[in-house]
Amino acid sequence: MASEGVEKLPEVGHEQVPVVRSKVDWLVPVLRLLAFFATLSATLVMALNKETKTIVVATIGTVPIQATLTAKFQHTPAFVFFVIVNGNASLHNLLMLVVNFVWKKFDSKGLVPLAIASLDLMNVVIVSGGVSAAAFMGQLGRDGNSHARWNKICDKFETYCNHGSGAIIASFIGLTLMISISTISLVRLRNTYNKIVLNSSVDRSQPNPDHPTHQPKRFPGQRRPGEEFPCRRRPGIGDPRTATGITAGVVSYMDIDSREVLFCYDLKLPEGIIPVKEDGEVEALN
Amino acid sequence: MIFSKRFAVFVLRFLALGASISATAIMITSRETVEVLNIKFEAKYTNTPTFVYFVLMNAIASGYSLILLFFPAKNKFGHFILVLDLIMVLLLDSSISACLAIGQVAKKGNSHAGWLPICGQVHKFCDHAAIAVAAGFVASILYFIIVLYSIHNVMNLFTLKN
Repeated sequence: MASEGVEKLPEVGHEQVPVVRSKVDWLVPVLRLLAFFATLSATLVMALNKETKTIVVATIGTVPIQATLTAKFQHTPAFVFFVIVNGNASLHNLLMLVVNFVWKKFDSKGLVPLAIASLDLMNVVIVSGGVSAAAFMGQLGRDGNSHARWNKICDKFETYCNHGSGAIIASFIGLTLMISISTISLVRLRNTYNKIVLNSSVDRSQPNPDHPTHQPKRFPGQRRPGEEFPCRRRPGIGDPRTATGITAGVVSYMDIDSREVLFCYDLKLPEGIIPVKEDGEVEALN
Repeated sequence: MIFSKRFAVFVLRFLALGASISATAIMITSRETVEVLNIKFEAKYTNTPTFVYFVLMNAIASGYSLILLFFPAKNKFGHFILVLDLIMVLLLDSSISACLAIGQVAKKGNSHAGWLPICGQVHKFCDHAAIAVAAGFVASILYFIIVLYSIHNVMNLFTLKN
């Protein structure tokens, strides 16, 4: 027979995801804002990268013949890919920044942090591809390749090259920020999932030390063993204020679909009171 | 069930190891000497730093896979292995992207910069390098699948709370 005492222990046994309410809450949004600015600047600087130069090709008599050469980013497919990828990444960062603040109202299953983390990973990989292709094309443009007889173009189009390298550096910074955002999100996901009791698809070959059964659990109103506490009125005892209950132990068993926990108490009656069988709950009192 | 999981990831890592080793080997042995008008024209993978980067990344990835073949599937280094797997995917993917950019210039040239395509003269080298890049592409896909498996290992992400 479990009886409730007058005072209650604080309820600490709930399966609750601890809400992180500290300044760490602002870390990921700030990083995302910085990454958004970095990728956005990389996109814009590379997309507006253009330089025109007129050079004198030949001289006929006294009339110089000029040729106009333009260097645009569309001439190189690597830079086109770079622009597309960085535009995609900046849009992604902006959207995730917005989702960061409003997802709690729409999500019922906890899928949103998982979706954010996987989209982050995909964007990190794609941006790394874009930035490395652009970096190697830039290196080719700066140094040329003597074996293939490809002349360098950076000595003629210096502004174009400088703008391009600035955009690549900005994209590298954005990539670093996005990698750190991804890592932090994955670490937080791991902490979240470690505190949730999973269903039977968990691998139970090795004990999971983070599982709640390995840690002492307290239910509301649970007493420490051997503790004495005053009783409420129970049939058969008489005046309940003179009796005290002593915690004896806990029995818990698990059925196919249910789980029961029984708290067992000893009843310490003062001298002279003989319990009387009143409500049919017990068969006999010896 | 546990044995089959370990076997599956072992086979995956073995395949990824094979793909990255073959990419490295094929790129290293791609070499062609062509005589054009009495001028010896030699094409090696060291001519462009992009292919050197590709060889380096695939060598690192195959060394990493070789070491990890002898690790059990679920151990306490799960998170560390996941981070390393992610880094490998990033590196491999960037090396392939750069090789494709350089290869496109080599095949089609860039008329605006005055760069002529060289694949017409050294077409065997070009094909060799293309096969190596294809093997690297397969390796990067396999490493990506390994990353998915590592994430599932570490976080049980694909069993959702109901």
